[in-house]
Amino acid sequence: MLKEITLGQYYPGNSILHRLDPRVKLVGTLVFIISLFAFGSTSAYIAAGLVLAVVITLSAVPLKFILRGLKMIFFLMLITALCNLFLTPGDVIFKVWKLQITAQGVRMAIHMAVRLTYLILGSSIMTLTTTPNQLTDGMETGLGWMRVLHVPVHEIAMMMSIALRFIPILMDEANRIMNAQTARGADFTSGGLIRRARALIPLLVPLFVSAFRRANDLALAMESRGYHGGEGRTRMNPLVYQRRDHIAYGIIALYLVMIFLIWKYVEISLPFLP
Amino acid sequence: MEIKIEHLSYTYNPGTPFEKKALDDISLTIGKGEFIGLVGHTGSGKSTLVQHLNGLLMPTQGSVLVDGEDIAGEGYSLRQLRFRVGVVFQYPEYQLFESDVLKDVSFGPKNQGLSDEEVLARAREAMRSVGLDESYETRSPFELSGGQKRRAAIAGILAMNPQMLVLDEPTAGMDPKGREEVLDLLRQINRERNITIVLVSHSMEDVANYADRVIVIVDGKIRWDDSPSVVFTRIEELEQTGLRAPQVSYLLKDLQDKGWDLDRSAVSIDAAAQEILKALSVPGQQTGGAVEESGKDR
Amino acid sequence: MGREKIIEGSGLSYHYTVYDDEGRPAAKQTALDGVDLQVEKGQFIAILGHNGSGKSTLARHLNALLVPDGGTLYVNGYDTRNDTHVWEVRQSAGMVFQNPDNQIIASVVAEDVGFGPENMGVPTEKIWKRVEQALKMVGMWEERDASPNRLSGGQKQRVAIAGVIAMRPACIVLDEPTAMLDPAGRTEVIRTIRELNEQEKVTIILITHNMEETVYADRILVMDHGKVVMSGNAKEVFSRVEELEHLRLGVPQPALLAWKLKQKGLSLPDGILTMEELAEALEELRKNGQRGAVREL
Repeated sequence: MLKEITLGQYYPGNSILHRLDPRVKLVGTLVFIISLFAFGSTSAYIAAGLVLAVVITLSAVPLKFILRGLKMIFFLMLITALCNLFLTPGDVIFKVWKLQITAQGVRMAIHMAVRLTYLILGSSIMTLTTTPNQLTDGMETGLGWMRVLHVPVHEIAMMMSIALRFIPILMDEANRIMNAQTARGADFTSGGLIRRARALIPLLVPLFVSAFRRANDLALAMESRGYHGGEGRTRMNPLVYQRRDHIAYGIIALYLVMIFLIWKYVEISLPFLP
Repeated sequence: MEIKIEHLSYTYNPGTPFEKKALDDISLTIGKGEFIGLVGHTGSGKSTLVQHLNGLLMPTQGSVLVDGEDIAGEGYSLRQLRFRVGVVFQYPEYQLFESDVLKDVSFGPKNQGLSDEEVLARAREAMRSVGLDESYETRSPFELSGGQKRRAAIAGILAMNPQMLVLDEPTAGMDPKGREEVLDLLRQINRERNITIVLVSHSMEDVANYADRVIVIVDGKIRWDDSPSVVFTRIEELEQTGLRAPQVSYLLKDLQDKGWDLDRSAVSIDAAAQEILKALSVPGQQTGGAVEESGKDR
Repeated sequence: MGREKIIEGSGLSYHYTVYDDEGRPAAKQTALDGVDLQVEKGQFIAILGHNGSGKSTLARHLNALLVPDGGTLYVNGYDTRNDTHVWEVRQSAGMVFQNPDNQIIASVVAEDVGFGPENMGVPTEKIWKRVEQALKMVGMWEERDASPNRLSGGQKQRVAIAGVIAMRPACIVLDEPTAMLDPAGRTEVIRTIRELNEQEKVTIILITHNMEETVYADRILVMDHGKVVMSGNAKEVFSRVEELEHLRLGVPQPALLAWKLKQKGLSLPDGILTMEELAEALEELRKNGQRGAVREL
């Protein structure tokens, strides 16, 4: 199960999305996420969903890969949905004992689930079509102005890209350690919550030790290859906006306007949605 | 204890685009007290096979019978199986986690549900048998040297008193002396306590020197299952599969091709030396002149 | 010889400080003890020693990751103790480490090879030229767009070597580059190192505990307790079987077998390193009949 997290895993390809400037993709993702929260209505969500579908098709990343990212937040979504469903006050449409479901609750639950799904899909598409290094570059160049505010942009970007590279390695390692401890009779699956939490110690301690060892090794390797922060670094793939990037910015702006208009003027009420 | 594997096949991620058949119709029997060398390329399926021996993986097809009982059978306790078949994974020192060595070695027996005294006795005995004395009991496993960590990790498995010990490349990354010490330890455990050993190794020399039986896996199938002297004389066939024979096998073959009259079944350095000396000492030619000769070369 | 010296170390010593439970310095442990090391341009030097003999500490000095407590070390003419030259030193002596995963920084092969030149401030077009050249030298150009996670251990190490070559170092220091690899990966890496040395004249310093890998070196230094205890070419070093075993090492199988046969009284020449050489020598003995006979059996 641990291996199935795709968030942050680059899927090699040469689609238009792969070739876009990472800054465009960052801004695009950001705009998309903001639009989800700012303009929440059934009509806007349908439109956003259609746009997302087009983007996913353009990326040429197999749908299976993209959807796997959703699996890991399934429980988060379920819990959020249940909370919304039962805890939102409003017009009661269903009541059992002390639990009541309101029309507003149903609406909230559905909206929240849709929002989370879109959010994960949107950011997965970005990370699947952008190498962590490009992402780092994008952040660093695109958000470079934040350095004025004493935000260590280069360092954050570097940390991000390293974290992304080592996530799959540490996942593998976790699997291996789990096997090794199971072979010593460790039981990760039975018992109550406290017992289970305690059973994780033989997994987590070696995992942390290993992570620190790797960090140490990597620091040495980086230093020996002349890394000394962002000062005086050149770029192998400097970011230069192409025509397609300008067009993409235009499309993003257009999207924002469109969603705003739809949210403001188009009412869709689905029969099963109160 | 006897493990009988019948027509075992294993497929990773069946029904997905990542489907991969790792083992294909494996049948073999591992008897009590054997010392088996398991050989094959990275990705040949050896590690997958190993994980079937203690039920970490279950066959996609076929069965694994331990003393006649199917491990996939309903109600079969895999946890009990894991105490009987100890598996030492690659780089086992990465599994150490306790604050001192004694506690870490006790982890297995504790999971077995033994009494505190018994856990302690088992752990101490295991530590002794890998050559870690009392002074190590209270030391942090993370402060030990690489070789000592490896021993501590092996002790952690031994403390469960397994009847079979399966080791995946136990000498990886160790220096020559360290390797020899670990392998000698395995031989000792095998001979003195009659524990079955399955040694997964890339070193044909180690397998030739220590194992009584060699199983060669190629692309998920058993290619050979015989004594080292039989398997390692098939130099050409081994090389066709991308493997090789121990270095002495090449020498003996070379000599035989040059017209020497010798038996090629020797696979260890000492046995080969004997064989060469025997072949050279043609009756009637035995003289004492050799010592002088060796002086002349300098 | 008038050849250019890449590395000149004399009387190098280094101590680790051991701390007690409260974090106070408790003891000093000697890791290097009076090591002299000279490496000339184009040489292939092997440093052999068991785990804990000080060989990795020495390697880290060559790259100024550590600086000596005593003695002097010049790398490509730069004194490693001088802080201002630290980046020149690091660029001069490129390091390849043991664990293939822990030294690859980027998620795409080509980008990783470009990491060093990027840090050095090399202009963009030139970075690509260097990356291409380096990857071609180690035979990994075809894999330039691959993710390192999809490569075998041997391939990862070749990428790491390319990453160092792209920095145009004066020499490459490899710290047990094969310790975590399978035999195929080991052969692959050693072959790459030899090719770089023989065809591209790259200066190589190979640190290892695997005797077989040092056979092709111009000179082998054997370390123990932070000292260089033996030095010479493979033929010289590997005739000293008993001493090597005493140092927790060993000798390549052919040398060991030759030595054992000699112990039994066979008059074999010194310096046998391969099974072919041993077979030749034995055949020679047999042809000469009586002269090569056995004393006892």
